Amino acid sequence: MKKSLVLIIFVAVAWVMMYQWGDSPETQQILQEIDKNKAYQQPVRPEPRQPAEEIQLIKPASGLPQGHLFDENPVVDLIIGLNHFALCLGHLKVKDSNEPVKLSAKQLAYLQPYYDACETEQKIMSLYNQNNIMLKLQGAANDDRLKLLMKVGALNTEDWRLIQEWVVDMKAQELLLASALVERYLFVNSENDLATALGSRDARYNGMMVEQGFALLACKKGMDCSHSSGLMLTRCADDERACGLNYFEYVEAISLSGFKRDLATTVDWIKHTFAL
Amino acid sequence: MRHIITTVITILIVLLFVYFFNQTPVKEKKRTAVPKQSTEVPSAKPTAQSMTAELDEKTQAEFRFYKDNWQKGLGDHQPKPLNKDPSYIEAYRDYDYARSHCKDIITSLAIGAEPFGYELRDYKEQMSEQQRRVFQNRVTKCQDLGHPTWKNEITMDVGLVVAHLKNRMDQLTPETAEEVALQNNLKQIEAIEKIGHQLFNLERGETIDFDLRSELYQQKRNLQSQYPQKVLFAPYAAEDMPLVESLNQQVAEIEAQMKANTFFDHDKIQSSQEVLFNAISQLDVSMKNTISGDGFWAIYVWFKDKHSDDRFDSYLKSMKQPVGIKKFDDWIQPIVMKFRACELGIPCGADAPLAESVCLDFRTPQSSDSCGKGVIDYYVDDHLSAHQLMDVEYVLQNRFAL
Repeated sequence: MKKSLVLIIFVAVAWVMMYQWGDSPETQQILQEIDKNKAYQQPVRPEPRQPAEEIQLIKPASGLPQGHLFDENPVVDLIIGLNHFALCLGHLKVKDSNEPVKLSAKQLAYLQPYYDACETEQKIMSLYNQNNIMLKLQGAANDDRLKLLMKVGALNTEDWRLIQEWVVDMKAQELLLASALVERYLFVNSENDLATALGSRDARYNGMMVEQGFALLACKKGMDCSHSSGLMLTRCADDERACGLNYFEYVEAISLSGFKRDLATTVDWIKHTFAL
Repeated sequence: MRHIITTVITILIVLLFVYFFNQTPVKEKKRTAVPKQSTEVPSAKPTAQSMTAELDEKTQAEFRFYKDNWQKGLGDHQPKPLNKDPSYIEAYRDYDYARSHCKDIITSLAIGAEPFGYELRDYKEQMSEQQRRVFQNRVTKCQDLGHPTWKNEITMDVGLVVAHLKNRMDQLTPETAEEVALQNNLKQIEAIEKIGHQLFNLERGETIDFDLRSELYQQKRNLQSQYPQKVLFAPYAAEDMPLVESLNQQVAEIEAQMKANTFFDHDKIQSSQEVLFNAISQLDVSMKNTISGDGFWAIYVWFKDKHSDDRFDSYLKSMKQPVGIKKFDDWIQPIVMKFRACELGIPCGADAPLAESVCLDFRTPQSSDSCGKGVIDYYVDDHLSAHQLMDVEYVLQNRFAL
C-alpha cells in the first residue's frame, strides 16, 4: 500500500514537472524551426569588412509607384522605409549634431561599412525625409489603416476586429505594423488570451513577446532578417551581441530558456488568432 | 528657627545637585557620536528667529509663504519626531528615503501644490484606492522627515532636508558588520562621484584667454547662422554645396583655434580616467560581494542612474552584462535586483519602502496588485509565471553565483 502510494506521488510529480517544463508539441515545432537555421549555434562572428560600394542598403522591388521602395500603400511604405533606414537616419543625426560616438569597437568595426554606404545613399533615403513623410501621410489621409495607426488613446474591440481582418492579409514586413497595434491593444486589455496562454500577468512582458513573435513570423514569411538587414543592423547598433547574426541566430544565441518557451507559445497564439 | 535653617540648607543642596546634574551627561551615549563639522549643514548657526529679523521684507514674505504652505499641508497630522538615538542603518534609511522619495513631495508642499510633483501628476487620476493610501503614507513620512528642517531653517529647501539627514547619519559610527559594509559601499560611491567631478572638469580644460574665447564663439555663431535651409535627414541642394563646404571649413578653423585656446592637462586626464575606471570596477565587485542589502541597493541604484549619464557611459559599458534582448534585460534586471536585495536583508515586507515603490510604480500596469504585499510574496505568488521565475532564478545564480 505504502509502495503504491509513493509510486502514485512519484508519477503525479513527474507529470506536473513535464507539464510545467516540458515543451508542448507546438513549442517543439517552433524550436525545431529555429533549429533549422543551422548557423545559430556559432558564436558571434566578426564579419569581414566590406568596401562601402559593395554594400547595398536597399534592394528595390519592381512595379511600385514612384517614390515607393517597399510597398504600394504609402503608409506601409513609409513605416517600413523608416524602419529600414533607421540605422542611417540615426547615424546621420548623430553626425550632424557632433555627438560623441557611443559604439563599442566591435560595433564600429561591423557597422562602419554600412555607415559609409549611408553617405552615398542619402539620395534614396531622402524619399523618407520630412517633406516626403508629410506628402505620403497626406496622400493616405482617408486610409483606415493610417487612422488606426494614428489613433490617440486606447484601442477598443471594434479596432481589434479591424486589426484581425487586416493582419490576415498582411505581407511579411507589414506584420511589424501589426505587432505595434496588437501590443497596444493587449497592453490596455490586460485580461486576454495571450496572458492566459503565457500565465503572465505582466503586460510589459506580454507586449515584448508580441513584438518578438511578430518579428519572427515576418522573418519566416520572407522579410529580410539577414545580418545585413535594416532590422539586424539597428539591433547591432543597439546591442553588440547582434552584430553579424540574423534574427533567428540572435534570438537563439542570447535568449534564456523561459523566454524562448514563451516566445514559442506567443508565435502559436499569433498564428492561431490571426489565421497566419 | 532651626527648622527654617534646615529647610534652606536642604533647598540649597538640592539646587546644587540640580546644577551639577545639568553639567554632567545624563548617561553614556549609546552610540558613539563623531564630533565633526558637516560641510553641508553647519551645526552652529543662527536660529530661524534671529535670521528672520535680519531678512528684508520680500524674503520674509517668501519665508512666511513656505511656512504657511507647509503648515497647511500638515493639516491635522502631528509630525512624528525623528528617532533621537538611531542606529547607523536607521539613520541611513531615513536619509535614503528622503533623497529617493521626498524631493518632489516636499517641494510641492512648500509651494502649496498637491504633493504629486512633476513626475506623478499624470498618474494622480489613475491611482487605485490602495495606491492612494500608500502614497498618502509616503507623504506623511516625508512630512515627518522634513519637519525638523522646517522648524530650524529659514527656507523649506528639500536639499537641506536631505543634507540634515545625511549629516545625522555621518555623525554615527556603524556597529554591526552589515553597517560597516554599508558605510564602505557609500564611501565608494562618494569617492567615485568626486573623482568623476574632477575628471570631467579636467576634460573641459581651462580657457587661456577668455576674451579670445568669447570672440571666437561669436564668430562661430555668425557662421552657423549662414547655413542654407536643410530638410531633416536630406542632403543639401547641389547649388548650396559650395557655400556649405566653405562654411564647414571656416567653422573647423574656428574650432581648432578654440581648442588651441584651451589648456588640457593630458597626463592628469589620463591618470584620472584610469582611477575612475578602477574605482567603478571595484564598485561592480562590491555589488557582488557586499553583505549589506542597503549597500547593494545603493550601488544598484547608482549604476542604474549613471547608465543614462553620458559622462559615465563609456566607463560603465564593460560592466554591463545584458541578459537576452534589450527589452527583456530592461524588464528582468529590476526584478532580479529586488530579489537579491531582499536576500541580503533589505526590508521587503508589505510596509517596506521597496514594496511601496513596487506598488507606486505607475509606469507598470497592474502595479496596484502589489499594494499591501511583501515584495517577494508578490512576485512569486501573484505576478511571475513559472517560465519568468525560471529566468529570474537563472540570472540570480549566474550573476551572483549563489
